[in-house]
Amino acid sequence: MQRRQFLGLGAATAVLAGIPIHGYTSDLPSGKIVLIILEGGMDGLTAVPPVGDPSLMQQRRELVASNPLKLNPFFSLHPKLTNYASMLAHGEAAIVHATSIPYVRRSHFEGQNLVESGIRQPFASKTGWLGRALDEARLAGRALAVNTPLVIRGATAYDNFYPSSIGHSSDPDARLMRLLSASHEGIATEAFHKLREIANSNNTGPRVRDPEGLAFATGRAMRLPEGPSVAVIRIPQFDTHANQGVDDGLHPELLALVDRVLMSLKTGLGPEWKNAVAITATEFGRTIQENGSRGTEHGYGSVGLLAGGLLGSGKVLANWPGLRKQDLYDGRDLQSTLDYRSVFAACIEAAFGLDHDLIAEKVFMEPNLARTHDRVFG
Amino acid sequence: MATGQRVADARVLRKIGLGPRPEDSLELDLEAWLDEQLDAEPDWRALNSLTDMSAQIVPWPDELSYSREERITRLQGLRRNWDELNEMKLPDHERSSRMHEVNMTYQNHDQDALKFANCNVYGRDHVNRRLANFWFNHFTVADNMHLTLNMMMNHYEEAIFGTLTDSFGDMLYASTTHLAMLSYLDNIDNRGESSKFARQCDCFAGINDNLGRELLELHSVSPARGYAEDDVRGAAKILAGWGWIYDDGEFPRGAGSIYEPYVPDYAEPGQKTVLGKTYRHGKAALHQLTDDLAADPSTVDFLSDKLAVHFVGEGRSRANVMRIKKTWTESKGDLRQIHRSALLEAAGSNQRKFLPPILWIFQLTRMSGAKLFVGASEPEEQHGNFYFHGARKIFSELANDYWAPRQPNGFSDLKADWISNEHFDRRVRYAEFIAERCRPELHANEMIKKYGFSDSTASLVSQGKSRVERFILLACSPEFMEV
Repeated sequence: MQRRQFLGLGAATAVLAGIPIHGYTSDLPSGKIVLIILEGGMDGLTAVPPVGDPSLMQQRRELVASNPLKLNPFFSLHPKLTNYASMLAHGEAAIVHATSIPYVRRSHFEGQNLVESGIRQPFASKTGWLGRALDEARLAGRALAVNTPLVIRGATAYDNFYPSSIGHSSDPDARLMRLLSASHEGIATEAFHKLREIANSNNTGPRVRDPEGLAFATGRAMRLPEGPSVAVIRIPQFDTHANQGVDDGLHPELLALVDRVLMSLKTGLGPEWKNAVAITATEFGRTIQENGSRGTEHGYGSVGLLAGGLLGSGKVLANWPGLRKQDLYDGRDLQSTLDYRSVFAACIEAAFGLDHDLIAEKVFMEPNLARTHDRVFG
Repeated sequence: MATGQRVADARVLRKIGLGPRPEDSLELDLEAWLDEQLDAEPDWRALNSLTDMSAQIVPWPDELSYSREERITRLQGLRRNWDELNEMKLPDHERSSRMHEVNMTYQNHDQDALKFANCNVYGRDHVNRRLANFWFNHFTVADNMHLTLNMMMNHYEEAIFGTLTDSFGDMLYASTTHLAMLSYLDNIDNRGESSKFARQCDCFAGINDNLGRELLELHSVSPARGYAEDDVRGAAKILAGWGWIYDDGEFPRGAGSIYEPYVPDYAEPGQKTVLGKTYRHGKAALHQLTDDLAADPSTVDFLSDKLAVHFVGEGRSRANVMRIKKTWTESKGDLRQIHRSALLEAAGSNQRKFLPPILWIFQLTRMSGAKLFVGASEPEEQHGNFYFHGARKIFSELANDYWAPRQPNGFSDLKADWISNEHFDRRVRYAEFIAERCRPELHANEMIKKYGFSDSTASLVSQGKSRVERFILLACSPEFMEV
């Protein structure tokens, strides 16, 4: 094996986020949003192959799993997504295909920035779409990671969680944290202030760091009456330029991890699963054709996987553009026929009860953003 | 800063380098000292042993420094032993224990990270170390396969450190053609669709554009240049033929040396076009391309600003950037002159630079004279008695491990990306760990006096009730975190 399989070695990383609520616990929206960022560009045509499109086998026979799970006459599901298939069958999941954020330049870093900022111009915003949605819904944010992801940065305070493992160190002392908080400015003050609150709270939180464990712990935290309303999980390594794998290998294992994270989240959420929606997001899809090294290059349209009790009917939504050469974007990529931000907007509407026009204007700065709520959640 | 100006406190040395050590004098002429630093020979030094109370500093041992050839040999040994183990019928627990032994024998990334850590803490050439760390992050290589992991330190030593006083074009070419980069960005799989290999092998072969894309986007002109997909494709075609997989011990027909790993049979025939310029077929095309990219005004704009953000801070002025850019253009990309210009901009600016965790911990360890990292005589103790003193362990707890799997855009240089309560939790804990368990030569009050920290920092530190508390307050004070 040339390429290191990090998942097997336990080196995969995850970022989780949620919200502890201080101050205004009445009239809170009951919904929960879990954003699962698939970093590197997920191959939507592998995850949800359109087997009913005759061009699929002509264009990428080598990349279609041998025993896909049939969803309807047109779409199938990669066989590693077994838990997710069950959620679809029980009407607690939905798929949106041939979709992308409005970005076609194929840079990871611009694309990832836009997935989180939710606007059209790369690196032009210091806040993220979930952060702005939280502000509109008057909720605070919490990240479970060493870093605070851009997507939940907004005007309100947030904190984060990712347990350290440093030999013999003691938990930070509340008095020292107060002194440091007072000596710093801005977000540094807030971060030390949060450490002071943690020092005073005796709330140690979960001590796990693997993606499934964190997903489960996040679900557990979110089910509490005053628990977080938002979480962000980051799964890296989808940038499969070489030896992508079809039935087995890196990309299939990543899909299996997504499947397990969704299941761990559902288990952790318990009864709150009915009020939750989890949604995947990736910066772009991948080329329709395999490259010279059994991998795929950066593309455009991909697929979005949604799961949670807020969803209705287990359907696949797509305004299918086709896969013939003339149907492809730039002659090489799946076309996007839906701005994926409109699906983010639908999740905000479903979970937080905000008005679509307000979400479009204040969260995505796009007054004409299409409303897809009824199609996705209906 | 004017010529002859003397440094009054440690701030400037922290801003342009990794900070002074307890034995260093601060009475120095900044520009003369900077020239000495920029011309210094690499200083590969380390603590001998954590258990050695005299804290002897020794040259990093030759037997733990691997050449490119030795790294290939070790990689092949790793592969050969794995293959043998896989062919044996062994119970799972025995296989995994023997795999672990093989890994410990043939892998070198833990030792490499330890060398990197020690040299950053004990090296007297700390300005060049700081510069090399910047470029090591600009030209990110990171764990994605054994070849990359195995070669990373050689990339740092030869492609980065080895070209620090050459031109940017030299560094760009050295980095692009280094095995660590060729494997990290999948170019070892990049074969011309019409190459001799593709025509004859009856196998699957074609272009892989990963390195070609990042060469334009991240390493040189940046998206501001406004290139098209065809330019990415053109660069990828020029790169086809560079690099191959080494671990089976076989070299392809006609392959160049591991210093110029070009395989003519893998190359795409014909002319290629990148950014409007045509390149003739052949090995020389890549050097022409990297030279052209290095000289492109978009590269100069992009990297002058990136240097200013790293050394001056996010609040760099337009004038800061313009002066670096002017030096870049007039010197035709001479890195020594560019570095001097960027560092003098930093030294003369009152803008603050928030230190990412790895720079913060190097500076704290240097300035306090603490013994944080495992010594050169005991690298295996990173997996034994001194687990919590292991370089990769500490870097990864700080979320700042160069050797970890990560994306090719490297670590952020922006303050907001390094501030969270979990980041600060680690800083507090490591400050405590260093004060309690790493035998600092200078405690907080002594550091305040020696290095000239401000009255407000002294006042904050004075509120600590113990030696350890005062050390934490100094290490996590605004003045220590942001220079």
